[in-house]
Amino acid sequence: MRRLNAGGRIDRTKPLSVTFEGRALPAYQGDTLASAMLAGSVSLAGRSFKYHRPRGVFSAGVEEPGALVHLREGDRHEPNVRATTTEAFDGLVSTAQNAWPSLTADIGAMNNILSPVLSAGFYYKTFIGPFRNSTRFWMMCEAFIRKAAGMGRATTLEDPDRYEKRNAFCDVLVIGGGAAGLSAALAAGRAGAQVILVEQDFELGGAILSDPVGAPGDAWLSRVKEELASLPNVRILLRTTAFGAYDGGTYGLVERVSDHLKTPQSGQIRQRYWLVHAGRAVLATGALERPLVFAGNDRPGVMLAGAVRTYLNRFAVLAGQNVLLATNNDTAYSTAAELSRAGAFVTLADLRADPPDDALAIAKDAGVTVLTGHGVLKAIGRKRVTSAVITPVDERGRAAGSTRKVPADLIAMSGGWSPVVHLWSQLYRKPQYDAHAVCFVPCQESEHHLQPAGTAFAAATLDEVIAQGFNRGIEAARASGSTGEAGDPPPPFEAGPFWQKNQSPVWATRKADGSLAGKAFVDFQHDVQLSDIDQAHLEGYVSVEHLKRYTTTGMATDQGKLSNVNALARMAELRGLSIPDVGTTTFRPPYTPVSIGAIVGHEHGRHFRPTRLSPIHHWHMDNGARMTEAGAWMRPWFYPQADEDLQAAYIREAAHVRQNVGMIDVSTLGKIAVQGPDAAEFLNRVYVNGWKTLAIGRLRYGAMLREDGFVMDDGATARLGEWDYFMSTTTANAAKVLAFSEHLLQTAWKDLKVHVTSVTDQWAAIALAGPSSRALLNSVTDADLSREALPNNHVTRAHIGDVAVRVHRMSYSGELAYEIYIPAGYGQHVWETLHAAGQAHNLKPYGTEAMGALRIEKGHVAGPEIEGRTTLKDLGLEGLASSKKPFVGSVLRKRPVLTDPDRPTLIGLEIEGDGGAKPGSLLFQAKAEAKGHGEGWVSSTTYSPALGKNIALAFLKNGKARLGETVRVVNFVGGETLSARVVSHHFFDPEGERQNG
Amino acid sequence: MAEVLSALSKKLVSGHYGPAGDAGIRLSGRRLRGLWQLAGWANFETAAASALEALGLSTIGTFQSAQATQIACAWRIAPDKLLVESAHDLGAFNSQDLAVLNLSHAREAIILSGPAARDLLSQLIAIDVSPAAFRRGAFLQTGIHHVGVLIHCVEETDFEILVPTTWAESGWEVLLENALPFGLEVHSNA
Repeated sequence: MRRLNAGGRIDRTKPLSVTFEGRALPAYQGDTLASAMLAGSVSLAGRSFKYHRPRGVFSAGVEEPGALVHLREGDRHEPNVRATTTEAFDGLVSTAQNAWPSLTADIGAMNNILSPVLSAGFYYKTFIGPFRNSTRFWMMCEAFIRKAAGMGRATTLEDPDRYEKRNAFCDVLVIGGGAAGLSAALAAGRAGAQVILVEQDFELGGAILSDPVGAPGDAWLSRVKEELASLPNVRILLRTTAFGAYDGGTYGLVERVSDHLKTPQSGQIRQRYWLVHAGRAVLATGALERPLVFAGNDRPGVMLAGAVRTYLNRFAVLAGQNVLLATNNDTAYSTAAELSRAGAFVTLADLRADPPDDALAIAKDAGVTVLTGHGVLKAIGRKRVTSAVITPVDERGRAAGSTRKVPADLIAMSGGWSPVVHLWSQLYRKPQYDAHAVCFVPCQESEHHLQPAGTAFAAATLDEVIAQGFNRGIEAARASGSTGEAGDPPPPFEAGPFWQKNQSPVWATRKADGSLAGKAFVDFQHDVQLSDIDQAHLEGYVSVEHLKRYTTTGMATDQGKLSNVNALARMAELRGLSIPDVGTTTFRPPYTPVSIGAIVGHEHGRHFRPTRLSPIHHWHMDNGARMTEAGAWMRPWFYPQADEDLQAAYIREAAHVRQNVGMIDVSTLGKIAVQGPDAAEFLNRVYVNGWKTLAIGRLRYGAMLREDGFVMDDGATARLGEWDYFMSTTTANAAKVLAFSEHLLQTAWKDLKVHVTSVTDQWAAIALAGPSSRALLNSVTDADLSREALPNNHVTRAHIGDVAVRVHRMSYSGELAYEIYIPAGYGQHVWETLHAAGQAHNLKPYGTEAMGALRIEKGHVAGPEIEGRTTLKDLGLEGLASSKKPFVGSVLRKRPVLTDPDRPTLIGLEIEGDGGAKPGSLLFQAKAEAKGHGEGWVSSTTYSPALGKNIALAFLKNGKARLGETVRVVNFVGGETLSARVVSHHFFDPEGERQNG
Repeated sequence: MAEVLSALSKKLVSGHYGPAGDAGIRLSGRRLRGLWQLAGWANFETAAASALEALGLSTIGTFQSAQATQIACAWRIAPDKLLVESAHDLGAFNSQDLAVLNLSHAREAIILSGPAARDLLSQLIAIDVSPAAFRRGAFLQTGIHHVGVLIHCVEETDFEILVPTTWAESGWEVLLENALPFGLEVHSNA
């Protein structure tokens, strides 16, 4: 292996610092890591997945199964990177993976010796079921198996790079920047369509780039690129892979914006995830060369012939000096000739007895030794091919004469080509088999908006490639309504032979008895040998879908790129069927791996989901509040004084409210404007209680059910005007209640003239609670807040300073309390006004933890009680339900299972001892065995400063009849058992004297 | 006199962010003059006629194009709903046939402009925002980072995004995050 002194499409004026395993490689701008490896005579690039066999660079593209490496270091470290698609950059550091302690001396290579027992299904056959009750044994083994599985090792450090997503819309998406794709883009662009041309390489040209520099294709490519660049309606995306095709003309793309740099430039992203919405698309993805199957076909130094040609012509790297080319088609002849002209000694073994004369002439004119009717039986060498055994073969590829050993440091093989049909198959169905071209091809159906062209459609000449691309481009443009003149296609140039003519269907070289001369692989990524296909057949896994899963051939990143046809051919052989009769599997996205970062984009960390902030949020932050998440909201949890912890703070805050006055930001409550002449009727239907008599200026507590009779939400609704109501919901259920209401109004109740609109954002809300709340509020408002003027459950309008607000007299804490609704932009101002005025009344802010303690003391239900499995009766709210009207859930709430008198109902618990109970604890009779689901559960717990003890809300079977009983509170998770006395859930001020005062 | 506190008050800090050089994106905020929702039923246009006349509007408009007059800008956000930005108090038009709702504090206006503004929008919403598809005067109702917003194309490269007040900071941060690679200027005032 060596770099030639001239030629190639690399920039020799720009040398790059590139290393593999600490060894400097001779690299230039325009190289890939693989070409630099080959130029640096690196033959051992990695170890295989299962048997840890030595592997080298095998291909020159996305299909690479061997040269998978660790790329970069530290937090940018990336495993399983294909060296063949990694653009060389200055400072590139790469290392081997899946090898320990070193690539050359890998302990895991012992698996190769054990390979006879490590065949398909080994793990399941061996570790599942050898003993009775062996689940535990399997689970123990699984841990080791999982540790051994996989290839590269990912970093656990946080990814420092940025990724983004972008949507794009176009008339025509052209996938592939080779001759067909360029022709398609040119035609569509000339016709005036909005075109996006996608190429996964960092240069346009496709297979043209593998031609020798100065070949006729260069001038063609240059002219077409120039014209495309002049068309403003054509957008070209390089370094971009179309990995998925989806319904509605949607395609997933990933653009490697900065992967060719050591680090992204300032502020720039690493990768961009595109969702392209295209009217039409052209599939010009070309074809991938297939390997031949023979013993040792995975050894370093065995490569695809087309890749050898690419390294020679594009990267000026001669991958071997003594080259043995094995082929079953014409395309290897150009490669042989060019290698020979570059100074290699080349022997070409063609499985065909009678190759076409024009192909033979190409090789022989260049001094290549051609052996027709010959195949490679075995590659010899451990970490590098040193020689090969070749043999004359019959029409089935079996040895038909004496074998001989020939020296070779490179075996280049061509087993035919497979059109890249993945995206087409993802979108439509399985491709069809073309026996003439010996490959699967897409079907061309006029109604398809993704149309194949070029070698992706098995075009047999360059004329066909260009014509197909151009015509598909015009058709796609016309379908989008573009009427511009497309002109003539760019004239074709002279190119080497294509594969479709005269190809032999023989894909393997075997001994005369049909056996192999050693391990021969069909899937290099998963170490699937030909013998694994035989085993699958023997064990009955003959369907291609079963074959795939049993042997793992074609799975994961290979996605059938290299392995499919040979595996299918073997199964067809074994079953006595043809390949199309055996069929192929379905291709699925992604075509090539997509980094998780690109899929996630910016939606991680604090942007994993949106965050909702109260209009008063920054006051809380500026005043030392400890915040907590409440759904999407951030809410003040508690306001610690000095070094108070949560426990100390909330107890202090709750006690302060009972003794003085406290205020809490309740802007997070769901708020819905219910408007229209039928608003009362609407409320009557969604709430269980009656609303027709609610007077303007009054508010009422209500509960609503789901259709199935369980309680959905509760809250207070105020009547603000003749046709205007203000509904409040719990913080958690605001969106659900709004959507539920909208759904009913737009479907079942279209007769009602009602609009529901979220006004949660419009109003900040502050709850002022405690014996001094009226005095404080009086000091800042112009409203009459006396008990007579504003009794409980009444609403009035007022001003605090010059801000117009609404005051709802209602209580969640059980204290004399008010909820003040303020236009959001004035929320913080009013909070600060109250806070300042409140100093004379010993006002303190309190957080959600104290709020929870207060409502539990009062016996109010909340989310832990209204959790989707409780009924009105369970919650002690059955008295609310009106018997005079139907409402949502009014029928199904009477199902026997919901009216069962044994259902657990809401009770209070006074916990004995100093420790509190844990929510979720189960309740058992005092002397019963703690087994099973118990007789109930604890829903909410707190320390009650008012009662001086730990209390809880709970549900207990036949609870109301068991007041005074002692029960056991068992926390199975924490291994704790407590005793508690069953009491009324109205722990504090059951008569409501304080809140009504 | 109490001043309205913008939900973006902590975010509207003038400065240049991202790569040096000309900024591709400019972000700022604008206080709405007042925002009202007019909603009706089968006879919506008739019911809204008086309010529309007071605003200088002749129809309830279409779902794609905003209507602007000297004193108002109106967006038809549903068959029977109109969102109107106006300093005028429209509360008086509330009736049993026309539900008027004051939403003046419920939305913040984020102003997005600059040569890369459309690129930025394409990163946030799955709608075609090319100049041919999203023209001056057009508006979209869509979601940015799971939050419902209204985007109004005011000029070729100028957009106003009406975002719910309580989501405003979160939405702003997402815009900022996406805008950084383009180079970003934040202006404290529009």
